[in-house]
Amino acid sequence: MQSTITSGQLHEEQPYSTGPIKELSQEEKLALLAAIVESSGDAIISKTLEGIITSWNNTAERIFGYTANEIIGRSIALLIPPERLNEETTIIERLKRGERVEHFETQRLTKDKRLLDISLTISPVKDSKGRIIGASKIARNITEQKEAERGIKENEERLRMAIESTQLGTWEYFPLEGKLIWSEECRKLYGAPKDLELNYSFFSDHVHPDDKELVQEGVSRALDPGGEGNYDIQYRILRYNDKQSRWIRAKGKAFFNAAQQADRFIGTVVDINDEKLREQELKDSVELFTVMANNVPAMIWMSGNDKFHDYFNNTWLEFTGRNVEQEKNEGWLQSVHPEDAPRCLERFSKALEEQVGFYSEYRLKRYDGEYRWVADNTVSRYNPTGEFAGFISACIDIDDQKRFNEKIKESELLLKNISNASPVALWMTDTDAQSTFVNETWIEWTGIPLEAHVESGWQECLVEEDRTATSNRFMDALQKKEKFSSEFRIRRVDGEIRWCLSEGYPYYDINNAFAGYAGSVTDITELKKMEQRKDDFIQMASHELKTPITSIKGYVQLLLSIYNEWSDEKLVSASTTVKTSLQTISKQVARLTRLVSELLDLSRIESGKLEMNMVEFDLGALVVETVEDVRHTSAHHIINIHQQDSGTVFGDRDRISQALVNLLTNAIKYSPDADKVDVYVEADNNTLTVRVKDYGIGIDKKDQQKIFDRFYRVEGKSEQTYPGFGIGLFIASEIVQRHNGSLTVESEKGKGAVFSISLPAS
Amino acid sequence: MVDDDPDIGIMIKIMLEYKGYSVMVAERADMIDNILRDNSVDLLIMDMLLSGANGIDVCEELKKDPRTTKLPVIMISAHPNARQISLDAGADDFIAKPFDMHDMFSKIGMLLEKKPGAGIAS
Repeated sequence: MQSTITSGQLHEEQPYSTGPIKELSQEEKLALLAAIVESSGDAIISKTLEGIITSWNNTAERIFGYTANEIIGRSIALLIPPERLNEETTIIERLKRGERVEHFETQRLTKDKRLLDISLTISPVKDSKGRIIGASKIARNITEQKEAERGIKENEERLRMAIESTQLGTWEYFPLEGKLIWSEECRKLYGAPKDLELNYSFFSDHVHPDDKELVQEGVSRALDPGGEGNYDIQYRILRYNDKQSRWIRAKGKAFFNAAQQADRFIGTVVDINDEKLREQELKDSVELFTVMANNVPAMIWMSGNDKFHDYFNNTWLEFTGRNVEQEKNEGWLQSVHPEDAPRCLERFSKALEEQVGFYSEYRLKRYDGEYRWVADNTVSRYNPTGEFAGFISACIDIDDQKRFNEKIKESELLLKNISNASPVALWMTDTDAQSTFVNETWIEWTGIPLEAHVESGWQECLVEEDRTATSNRFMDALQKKEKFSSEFRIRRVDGEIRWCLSEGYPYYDINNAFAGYAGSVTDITELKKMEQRKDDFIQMASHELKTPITSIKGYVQLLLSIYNEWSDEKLVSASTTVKTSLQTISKQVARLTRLVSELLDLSRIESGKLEMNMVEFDLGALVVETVEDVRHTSAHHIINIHQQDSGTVFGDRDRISQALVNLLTNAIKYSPDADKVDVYVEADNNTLTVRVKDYGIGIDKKDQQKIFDRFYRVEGKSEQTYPGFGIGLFIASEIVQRHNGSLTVESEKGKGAVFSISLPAS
Repeated sequence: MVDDDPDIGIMIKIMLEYKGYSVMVAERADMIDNILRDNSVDLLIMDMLLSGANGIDVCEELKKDPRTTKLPVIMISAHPNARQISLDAGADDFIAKPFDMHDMFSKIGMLLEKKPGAGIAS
């Protein structure tokens, strides 16, 4: 064996120094040191700070298996298990600071990769100038020592467990003498001190009150000369020292003397407390499971790791109306609907093979013979060792739910079909105006799918000019949660522009929370065209009517003028009838003219073409003039003007006059039994008001707003006879509104009416 | 008086003659020039719809022409928007068909009174 320690190296590295060596000569010291190193039972290794091995003694070779030749010049890391490499860094750090590492217990690798327990002591090596240039390392193999330690610990543990597990106490009782002898373990069990004197009453006093009777019986039976003398009971004791209650098992045998008296009773006791508690816990948990399983509304079954079901809870049995015996094994399949049974069995077998739970639905026959859909949720169960132990399943009757879902689906389908078959487009939004639904009709029209309606995407369906207005109208309605209504044009997928009317209403969910809007879109193009045709027709018709009327009216006026001026007596006597006729014609013509004008006005209002010829004029003067004109038309009504103030207004004098005429003629028309109409002119806060008060039939409250609608006429027997188109108030209202004024009514049925026109003063 | 409906034209002629005016009736727009040239006309009543021409155009031309610009023109029509169109075309007044005879008299009277001697500049 080659020593690797040379004088030079030693001189430089001096790995290990001890006091007494100093007394010797330098050479002796070296020789002695070399001998110590070589004979040391520890591996002595030196290394540079970089971890390169520079010396290696015999013991190092013996412990680690590398020869000095093999290892000198290689890294110390060779000996370090990979997971401990960071230890080396820490050690080097400490050495650099000049610290020693002592008895550091770790593990190192041998050449043949065995792990050794090693105790390391490492010291820095300094050169003559005191600089740290490396380290010496004494490594002691403590593997065996460690193993021995482990062995001792294991033995101790084993022994302790053995003692604990047996803890057998022995006892002897001499009934005739009343003497009781307990072994030390027996005393320990009862918590009785060594020197405490024992007797039978000590024993019985420390039996748990609930078990006293049992113990008494057990002892009596054992001591009964007629019996076998056997004794084996489990009971609780109350320990002497800590009053703790513990379960023990006592076994014994009684012996009898010739007189058939029990004279000796011997036996053992052992603590079975933990065992008992575990047993109790198990019992409790089984009981808990049973109670739970039988009281949950779910039907529960369990199977072992074979194919067979071996448990059904009460809910299951009550449902099927069968007993466990009937359901056990594959009996349950008889309750499954014949159409579903093969599938169920197949699914179950597959699950069993894969040992993975599953979900299935099948029809199960109820006690009353009705098949009900059940949802079966099966999960694997495992025994405490983690082995697959079978399945446990909870089943719920989902028949109602299933039928309900089917109904919902049916109704959804119905709704879908209806909505798609509808000639009207339908849409819905959420609370943020996002489209959530459009029917097929709408998609067919626009060619734009629902997905493309998000954000402002829906506006793409409209022609550009109508987008902003429609969007604004909708947002306004949404804000107020009011009805939405808008007319706009869409560009159909075929390029045709169509007029549409969309109306939508806020809708509320089942909790009455606002959920969005639902609405429709109707193609009103034809309607629009028809309206246009109607307007055209009316315009044409009234124009056509006017020519003959112009002629009739002109001639009648001319004739009347001529007649009035030629007061020849002959003519008078002959032509009274002619005059009356002419007057009637004139009156009828006036009426015809007014009707035609009204028709024309209606058409103009509807098309927004009612023209206004705005001038400044005196309202009071206009009232006087208008009243004057109307006075001639009624023979038995006196029209009184009560003018308090007057003022000027800026407006269409003829139109305002027309509105007044309409009010006045209505006042006369609807008060056939009265003989007067009162007209008031008032000024107040920049507002001029004309009130027309009649003493006629009045208007019911419920009708008071409707009377301003076009074509609306108060219904009822007595009103049927009033002539006219029923658009006078509509036109009057429209005219007044166009002047930023208001037309209002105050009335009660049977008590006349007051119509008021209020206009801003100019 | 220019109107393509002779019934109306003649009726107005009768009315005005009864009132003491001297009236000439034309049915076609192209007859206007001759009437205006040969007679001392004080006032022209013209329907908006004329055979062969639009009364509004005729009115505009007359008002543009320095010789006839002062001639009072009353347009007459049954057309609903005719009033404004007529006034925009320079007409001095407008009568809506069917009209009130006395209203017509007063309009004519006012125009002739307002513009004594108005007529064709010779």
